[in-house]
Amino acid sequence: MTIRGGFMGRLQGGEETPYRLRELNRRALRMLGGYLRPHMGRLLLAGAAMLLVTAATLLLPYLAKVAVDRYIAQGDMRGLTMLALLYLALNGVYWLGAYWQGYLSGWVGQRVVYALRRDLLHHVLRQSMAFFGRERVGQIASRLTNDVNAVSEVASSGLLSLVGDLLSLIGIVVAMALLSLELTLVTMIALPVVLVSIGYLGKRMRGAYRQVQQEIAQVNTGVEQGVSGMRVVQSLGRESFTMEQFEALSLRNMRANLRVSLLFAAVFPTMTITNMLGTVLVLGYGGGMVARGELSLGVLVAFFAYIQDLCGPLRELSLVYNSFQSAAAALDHVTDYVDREPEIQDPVEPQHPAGGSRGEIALHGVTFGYDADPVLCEVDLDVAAGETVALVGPTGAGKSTIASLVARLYDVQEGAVTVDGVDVRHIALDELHRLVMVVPQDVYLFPVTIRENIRYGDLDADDARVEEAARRAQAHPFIERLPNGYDTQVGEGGALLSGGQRQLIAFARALLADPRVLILDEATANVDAYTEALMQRAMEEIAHDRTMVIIAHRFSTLRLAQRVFVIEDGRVQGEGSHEDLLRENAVYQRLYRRQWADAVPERDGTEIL
Amino acid sequence: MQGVVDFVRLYTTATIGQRIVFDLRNAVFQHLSELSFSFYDRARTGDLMSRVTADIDVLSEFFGRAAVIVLSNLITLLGILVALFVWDWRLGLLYLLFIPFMAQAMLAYARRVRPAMGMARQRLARLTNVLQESLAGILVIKLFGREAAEERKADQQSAALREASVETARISARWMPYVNVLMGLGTGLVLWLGGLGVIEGAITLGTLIGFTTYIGMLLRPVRQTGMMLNVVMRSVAAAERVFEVLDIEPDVRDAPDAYPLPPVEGHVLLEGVRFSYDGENEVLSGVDVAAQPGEMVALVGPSGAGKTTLVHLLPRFYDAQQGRITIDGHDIREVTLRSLRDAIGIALQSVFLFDASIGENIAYGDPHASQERIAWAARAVQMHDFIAALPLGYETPVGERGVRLSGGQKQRIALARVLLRDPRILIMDEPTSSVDAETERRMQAALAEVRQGRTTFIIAHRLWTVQHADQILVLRDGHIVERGQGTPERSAHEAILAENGHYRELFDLQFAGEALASEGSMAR
Repeated sequence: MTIRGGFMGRLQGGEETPYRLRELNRRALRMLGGYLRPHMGRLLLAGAAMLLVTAATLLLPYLAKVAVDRYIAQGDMRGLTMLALLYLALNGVYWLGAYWQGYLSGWVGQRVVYALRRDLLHHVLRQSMAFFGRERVGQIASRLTNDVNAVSEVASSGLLSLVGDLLSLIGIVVAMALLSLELTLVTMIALPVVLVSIGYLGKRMRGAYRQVQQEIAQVNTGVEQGVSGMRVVQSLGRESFTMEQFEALSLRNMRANLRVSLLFAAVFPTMTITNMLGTVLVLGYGGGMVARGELSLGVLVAFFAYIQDLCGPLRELSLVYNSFQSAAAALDHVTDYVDREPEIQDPVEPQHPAGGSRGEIALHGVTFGYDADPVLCEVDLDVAAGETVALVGPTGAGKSTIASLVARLYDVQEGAVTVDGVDVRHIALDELHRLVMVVPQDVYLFPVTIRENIRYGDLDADDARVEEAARRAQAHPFIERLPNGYDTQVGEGGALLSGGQRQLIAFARALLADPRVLILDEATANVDAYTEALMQRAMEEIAHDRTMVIIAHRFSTLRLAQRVFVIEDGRVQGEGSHEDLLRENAVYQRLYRRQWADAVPERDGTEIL
Repeated sequence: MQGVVDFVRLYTTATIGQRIVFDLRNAVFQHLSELSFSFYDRARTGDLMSRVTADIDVLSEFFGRAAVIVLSNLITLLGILVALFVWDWRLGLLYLLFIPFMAQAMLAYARRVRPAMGMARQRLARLTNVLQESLAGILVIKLFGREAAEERKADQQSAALREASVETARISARWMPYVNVLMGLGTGLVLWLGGLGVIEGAITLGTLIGFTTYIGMLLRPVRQTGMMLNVVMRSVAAAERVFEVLDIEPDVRDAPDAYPLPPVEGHVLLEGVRFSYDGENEVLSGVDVAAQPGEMVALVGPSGAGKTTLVHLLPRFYDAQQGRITIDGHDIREVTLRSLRDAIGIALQSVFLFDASIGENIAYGDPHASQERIAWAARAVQMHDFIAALPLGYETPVGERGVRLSGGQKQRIALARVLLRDPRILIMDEPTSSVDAETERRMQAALAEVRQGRTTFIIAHRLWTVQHADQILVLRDGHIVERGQGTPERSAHEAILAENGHYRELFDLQFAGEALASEGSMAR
């Protein structure tokens, strides 16, 4: 039997799909270029500093050659001392250049990364709820942190050192050629092999890196799911099983890392071999030339130094190349996101209702499904401004979906949703958010204080208004009884409060926003009878000056409603007043009778009736 | 030849390194799964994510590349040293002189860059945290149209991270080339002094050239080590953060001489239990409860009265500060956690389903359950027909990519998960708050059957769901203010109503709501 019951099951669902290499698309590069452009001035300075470094690197061995040939061999002490001083000074120049190169490129790089992250987040946050349903939190977070960080290495120092290393390489080769073309050619024999093999390995490496980043995003998701579900895991005593699942993810991550290591391990020795080969060639061939008197000893000294210098940039190139591959893979991921157009778009030319916003809402022949299966079928529904209506029906009937459509968390597939006669798709999103507010079934609180959570409804509200909203939502009494009152931390997701308390705070938060249309989705599901009665009173009061839609599967919450819509299986099965429906609507009667049968305790009910 | 050796060495080291990282990551996760609820009450998911992924990833980079390179460079250094000593011991000594300087240079760099890097890691974690919170609360953000505000929040952290990173870059830029400069100075010095020596005839030109060549060979490993030192330092900062997690002691753990709880009959006894989350404000102030095997105990009372806290003490999600809790006379702090939690099935108030199929989510309660058992559990919560009607049945994934479940449906699946465990003690914290009345009614009948032979604790706000309870306890501000005990003649519900106290008040309030809803016609 296969292991079942795993939360990370689906993460492991697909076998490791080998990443198909796409050429580092020009788009990604252009994007990076766009981010670099504003910092051109600093980049140029950094480039200048880099030239200083390169020049110093190239000159130092040459000075050594001059020292040997011109001064030591000739016995010129004064000259030698002067040269030594020059040598020291050049070192100083090197340090200065290296400092500015490193600092400036780091400065620019971090700004690029910051801007990239900002834009990416901007883009992600504008995606519709459908996007957030498909993507996992851990995955998105990984894109925004791990992937962007991978780009950072290249954007900061990588790009410059790449150019710098290339320049030094060329410079060194030229310098060597000037000193002795023959010896240079002999020394360079190994170079083509190196270049070809690095090119090949690099290609493989990029694929491997993409895999690594994919796996780390999975691990991230695993941790996220594990941590947020840990209470459930512990309450079911499934720690060891969860551990196994995590280990599997972790293992895949390790395998991906090992593949990179394997490739890297192959690149590195290639460099070493070149180094050794170069040294041997210089020693053997160059030594012979010196012996034959074709070459001065000083040149041989310089060559030794150059060979070392040559291998430095070559090796570093392989390191930089490595991070380049990793960055390219990350950039691929990032562009994946940026390429995705948000499904919910702000209208280009927003329309405003003719007579100002009144809070009238309507659904006209709305058909909608989260996937192929429709959840709502040709739903017609209208709520007059200032009216209070209720949506009643069994769980899963599509009531919450209606709320989501009015708030335009999703766009309808057929028909239209209008607010004050204007299609919600034509209302500016900002305006729609001010107009329509949903208190959702799954209450989410941010891990800050109660005060800050309520203030989320209107960021400009002062403490007095926050308290006022809490009072109206009947949340004030319980908040006041808390030791820290409004400054109580609610914990992640509001974990430190009870379910009812969370609902009250979410209610207060919505009231502070003071919307024209308030949709309450099971707002009283988790509160005790006493609080519920208070909330009912609160709802009654706030219903006076706004449109209100109450979604409930319990009838006690319906008494405020002037009209009731019966929703079942994604269709409106009836509408009217409670009394009318009770008389005429079979579905409603059935729902109602069921509940009533429960509401009246068997032995005790009669005396109250 | 050397290349092959290099390759093997690199790859083996990398394998070992990755293995260490793998083990470390698992150890951290393992540790996380041992930490108690009080840890998770305060923990930030984003912060933990950052530690378990990003920080450990840095370590993986360290083991994968840096360690290898640093190691191989050290070997090169030693090799050169040995060669020099063999050649001319004076040169060897001279060369040795370089080492303290180099070490000093590296230390100077490390000392300066480490705090900066630690700061950067910390800020990255904070950023991850903000991002994670925004993403988790995306629905609320969308509803309030607060995308821009969230961006600003993330922006602040992002900018803070940027500043820390730039500072790190600045320090690196200043001190990393320092090693090179030292080397350069050394070479210059050797050339100068050596050159003078050659001119005076003290040493031969060959010796000088040989020596400078050797020094030149130093340049590369030293430079590389310097570069890698960056990674090393970053790893140290990351490792510190990882070990911080490992150092947290779980505050609920097995006693040293814990024994497994013997098969449970179901006597649950709470005696003078006091509990506080923060050590200051008591949530439970001296609670006594006695439940007989097979009894159903209902806890009612206002939000925040301590009902959930009370039931969380039974599986030891927290430990009571005073008083004791026994099951069949065994103090729960003296038995093993595993056996205790195996005996108890608790449906938590906040429903959490895993990103897996419906069947997997139910089977999470018992990995060895047969398909029949899973279907049985689903039937008990009135979900089987619904699930069976789905094209993929029990294989249907939960969530947007599969079936979107309503709040009530999720709640029922979570409950099925618990029923599947067949616990002797069953705890249900508002198990049907989001379930519609019709379904709830059907569930009641099934649950009444499931309850047989189990000691059951139920928390409910709808009082009609507790009318069959054998005991009803009204909690208020951490005290039990009213109790109803059922007798063969009179149910607990009737008994407690007759007291005309808190329960009566709650009942009337709720009933008034229902009655108002039914004002006028009663289509009966």
